[in-house]
Amino acid sequence: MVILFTARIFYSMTFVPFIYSDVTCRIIGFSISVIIEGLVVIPVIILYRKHPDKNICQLAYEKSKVLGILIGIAFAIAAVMLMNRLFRYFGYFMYVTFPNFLPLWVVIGAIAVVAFYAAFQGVEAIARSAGIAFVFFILSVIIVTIALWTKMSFTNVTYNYPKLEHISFEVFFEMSKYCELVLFPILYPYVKEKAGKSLYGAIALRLITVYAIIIVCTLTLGSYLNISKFPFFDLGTYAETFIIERLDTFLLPAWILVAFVKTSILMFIGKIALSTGLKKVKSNVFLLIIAVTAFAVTLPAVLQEKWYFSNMDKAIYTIVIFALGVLLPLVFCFGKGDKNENE
Amino acid sequence: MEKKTVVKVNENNYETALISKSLKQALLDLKIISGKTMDLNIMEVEISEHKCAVVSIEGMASTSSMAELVFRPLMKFNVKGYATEDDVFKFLTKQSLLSAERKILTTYGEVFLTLFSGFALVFIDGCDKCVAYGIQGFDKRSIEEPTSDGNLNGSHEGFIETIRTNISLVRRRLKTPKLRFDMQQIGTDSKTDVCVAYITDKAPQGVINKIKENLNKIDLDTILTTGYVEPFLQGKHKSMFSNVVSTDRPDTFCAKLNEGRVGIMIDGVPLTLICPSLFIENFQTIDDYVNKPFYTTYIRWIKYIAFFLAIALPGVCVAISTNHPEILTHKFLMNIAASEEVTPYSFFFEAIIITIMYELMREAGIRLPKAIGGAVSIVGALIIGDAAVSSSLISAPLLIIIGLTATASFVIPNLNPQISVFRMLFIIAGGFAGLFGITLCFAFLLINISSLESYGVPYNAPLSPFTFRAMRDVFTRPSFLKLGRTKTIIEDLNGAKNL
Repeated sequence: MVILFTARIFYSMTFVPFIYSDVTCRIIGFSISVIIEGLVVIPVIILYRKHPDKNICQLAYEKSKVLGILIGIAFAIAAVMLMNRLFRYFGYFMYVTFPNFLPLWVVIGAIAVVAFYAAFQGVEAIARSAGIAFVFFILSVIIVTIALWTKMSFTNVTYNYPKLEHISFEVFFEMSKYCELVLFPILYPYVKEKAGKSLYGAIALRLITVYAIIIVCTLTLGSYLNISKFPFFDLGTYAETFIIERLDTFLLPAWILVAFVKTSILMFIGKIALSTGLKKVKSNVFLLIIAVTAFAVTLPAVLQEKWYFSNMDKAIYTIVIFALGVLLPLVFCFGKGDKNENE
Repeated sequence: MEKKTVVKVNENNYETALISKSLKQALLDLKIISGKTMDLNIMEVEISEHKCAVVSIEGMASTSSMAELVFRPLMKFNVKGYATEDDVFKFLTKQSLLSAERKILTTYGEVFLTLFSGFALVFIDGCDKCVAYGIQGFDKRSIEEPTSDGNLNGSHEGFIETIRTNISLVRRRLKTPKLRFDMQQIGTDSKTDVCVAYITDKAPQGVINKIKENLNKIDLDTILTTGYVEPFLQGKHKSMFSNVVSTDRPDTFCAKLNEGRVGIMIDGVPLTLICPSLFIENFQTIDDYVNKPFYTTYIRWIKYIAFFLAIALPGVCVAISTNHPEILTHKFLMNIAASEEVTPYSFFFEAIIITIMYELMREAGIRLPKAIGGAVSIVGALIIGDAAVSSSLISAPLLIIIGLTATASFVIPNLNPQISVFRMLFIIAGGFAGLFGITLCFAFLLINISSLESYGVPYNAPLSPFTFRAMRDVFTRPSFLKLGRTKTIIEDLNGAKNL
């Protein structure tokens, strides 16, 4: 649950903003997307109930070796794609918030190296680190909120009549970020709690966190929200304590830790997906291939400082996520299941 | 059919060779195997007209005990008429109480093991067995206050080098028949006694078996310190942290056994090993359970802060001063800028130099004899504290930071090696990449701790995986009224696996 939450919260922290629409549309769009997400995770939950000990690649491999390898490659490509997007978004975040700090390719490369080390140590190490990153993130939110307490005001709240096209865009934008759907069909054999509890727990936790972030941002920043690129981060700039002049740099570690956890779990997913079908090669070789590929694919965008936030980009990710995270589990849901000891 | 002894025994084949029936041959064998070592004492005597020999190692067996417990009773034994060698043997084994510990030996391997353990052996002519009496009298250090883990209010007894004394120190504190000590010899040459201690209904059987299995895998000539055994107990992990903790305190050892851990004692070493161990145990001391809970809770938090100060403070300061000065308040920034203005090097370089100097002096202070060790502190204080600042080589704020860091690291002595290395990593990362580098270093530290498992128990339990019940003794320390009622043993921790 914590891994799924930490993996997803990166986008919510980065793109809680209201670049595309106003607060009202954002809240409505986000709420609708959460309901949709609650529905589209059902196939993977059914799949888990039927085959709790085998991931989707193993199930495909049992039906046909070629199918197993192909699906494994598809998940590995999806992991690389998701890492590519994460690196681009993180690069953009650093480009906007800390310009001329370090070459961006060094920033991305450093995250990839540490995430590689984490993925190399295994999913349990990542999960335990995610637990601590989660605590760190929550503490950051609480500290920033406390620091801003005196600056919050209901006079900052503005209400706009929600437009349907803005809401639908928000929903579409959120749907392109359902990365849990790609993670979970591979991850669930490692999960100790029940699949439904993990998925719905992560969704609920994110719902609360995002609402909290939106409320704090709205009450503090007011109309500045509509021009701010990273409102949650800007909260830190606005926050002041008697010890530290501004808290934005204090929030930076939360971003990095969350990005690191997400990258490492994606690397791990890619490794497992490939090694299920291609058993002759050592799994750590796949891990290295995945890490290097993700970095290499992102390098041109980072060097050219092009971030590709187009709708086409979002559409591609939405298709990939729904194909691998919803349709494929749905197909494998049919047929006889294994004995489920957890039920 | 009578067993045949090996015709020519020597130092290479003596282990399983049977003791010769002839006393003359047996004594000759002993001399050949030992290479006529000068500390082998052979005293030939006659007991009830039978040739016998008392064999011991000089300095290992107590001479007064030998006179009182062996020679005096032996000389008194006199059977009227003819006594066979079996009568003498029967007297030695069944009808006399020469010493508290008695063994019957049949091979030269057993003979030398017991001889070198301080036993006195009685050989009888015509008998292919000998009797060993435990009258050890080698010099040993008396029980003293533990040196590595000081405390104010707890027991002042510490483990010593003699394993039997250490066992008695534990037994005295845990008078339950469920406390078991399983002894085995490790080291092909040293044959060091290694004892596995556990409480049967608390320690998981899987863990006990796995530890014994790991100990049996040790294929070393000698075992001289805990460091020889530790890697075999740790397993193949790639973390900088150790999942085996050591202590020289019997009370800590007993507390851990009571929590379901397994203890390992090594003869000749005053430190004992405990596994599985947890990261948070590095912050717990026996004084925590003596002081009032409110004070212990407060001190615990101080220790956690000390850990982060010791590891990250210089790195964070370097990161902020070189890459993120906007964080600091105006006055603070001005003060640092003023002090840095007079120094020739950057804050980053200064931090590296002064950290290396501190490590040099710390290492010198440890290695030097105590009498001279104090001089290192004086030199250090003079050079760093006064000369370096007055000559404007190093800024005063940095000196305060390193001083604070060093003091903080003394609070958690168990983690000193890791703290030293990570501190330098944090400084380098902070200097090159600011708080971004610091965070990545922190992620690396996190993975190092999180990847570690100790006999199926996650090293960073009960924090992650989270176990609410066990958390009571992590950030707080409840009263024994609560702790005693609902004890948490190692198996109860989330994520703990059955081995």
